[in-house]
Amino acid sequence: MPGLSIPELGPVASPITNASTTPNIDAAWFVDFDELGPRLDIDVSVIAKADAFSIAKPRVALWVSTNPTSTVGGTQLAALDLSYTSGVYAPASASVASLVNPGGKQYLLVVSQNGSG
Amino acid sequence: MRPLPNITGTVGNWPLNGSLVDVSGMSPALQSVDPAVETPVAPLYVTFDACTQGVECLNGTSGKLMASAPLLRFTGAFTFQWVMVQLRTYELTYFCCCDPTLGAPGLRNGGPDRLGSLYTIHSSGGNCTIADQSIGSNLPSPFYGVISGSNNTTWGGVPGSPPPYANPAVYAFTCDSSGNYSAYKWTAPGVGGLVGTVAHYGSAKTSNGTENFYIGGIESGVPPIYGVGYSGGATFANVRALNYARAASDLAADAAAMFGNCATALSYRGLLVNIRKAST
Repeated sequence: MPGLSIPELGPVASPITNASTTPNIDAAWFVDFDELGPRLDIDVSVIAKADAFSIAKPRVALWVSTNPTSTVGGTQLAALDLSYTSGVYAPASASVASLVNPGGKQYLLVVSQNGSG
Repeated sequence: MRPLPNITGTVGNWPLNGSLVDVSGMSPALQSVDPAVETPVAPLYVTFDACTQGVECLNGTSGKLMASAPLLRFTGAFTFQWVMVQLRTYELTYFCCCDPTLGAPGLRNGGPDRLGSLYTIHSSGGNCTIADQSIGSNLPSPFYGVISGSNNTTWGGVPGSPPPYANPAVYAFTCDSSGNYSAYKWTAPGVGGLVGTVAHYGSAKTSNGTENFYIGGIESGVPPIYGVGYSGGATFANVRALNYARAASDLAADAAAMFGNCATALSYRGLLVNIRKAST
């Protein structure tokens, strides 16, 4: 299996409640990581907007977890900071190369949270 | 506290969150200037809570904020919404749009600052738009008289002590097309609201195209009247200016939103994730 593409996530709204302690899970997909190789490349691209803004930039992160509703015990695979969009949809993308495959059948979570800076 | 988003009619939106930049894209960034001589001084940012900073506008220490913002030269209806901690209301100008060459320098010498003003929202005399230099009726509490005088009760009276910027309130000020204004204050979601209205006062005036927009400014006294270089004033954050008189119900909803926690609502239009076997 050369790769796994997750289709576009339609318009959803997700409150980012707290930067680090309670990240908001926007979407979850069940993935059999054992079907992939020992190392992974991940590309993520998003068009999103922040309807309000805070000191910290909004951030979209990818996690793997055995629980589709929690990142507790999970691992963050990749993250990308969004621009200070202030209500305007803007694209952002990020790539992570040669990541160690977490293995197993786990959920891939899309998590929004406050970023840094 | 949360800043307000840009909506139709937004002509200025300054979160003041560590920056003087306008996020509406309609007006320039503000400058921090000395209240008396309008020369640049460094802005003094203060922290309200985990996601809100503001700018302190005092007398001679941290200045006022200024911009040449043509869209804020209102000669008709307008609205200002903002978060504020008042350190003292004594002769404080909240917002003003005036020709700096016509009045006394700065905003610290009482009445003359209102010479040439299109509008002045001031603690002891309120002018609405389409009004000239005349001092109108006093603004209602809390814009006037609550903690005016020489005693800074909000600060606690300890010179040089760290400012306690807790409990910021949300304010709004609207002026309709006839020049009648309404002043609002909320101390918590759903707590407060309209604190007074005053009918139009003053003569009609047309912008001469040279007026500057100002936030803050102390009009009386030379520092330090009180404390160490501080004579009162206010800290401002999340200032949004609209080119129409926003309805009271909308202002209340905005205020409730401003009291929200540091949450940021993120909306997706598209998300594409690709995971594949590493190429190397």
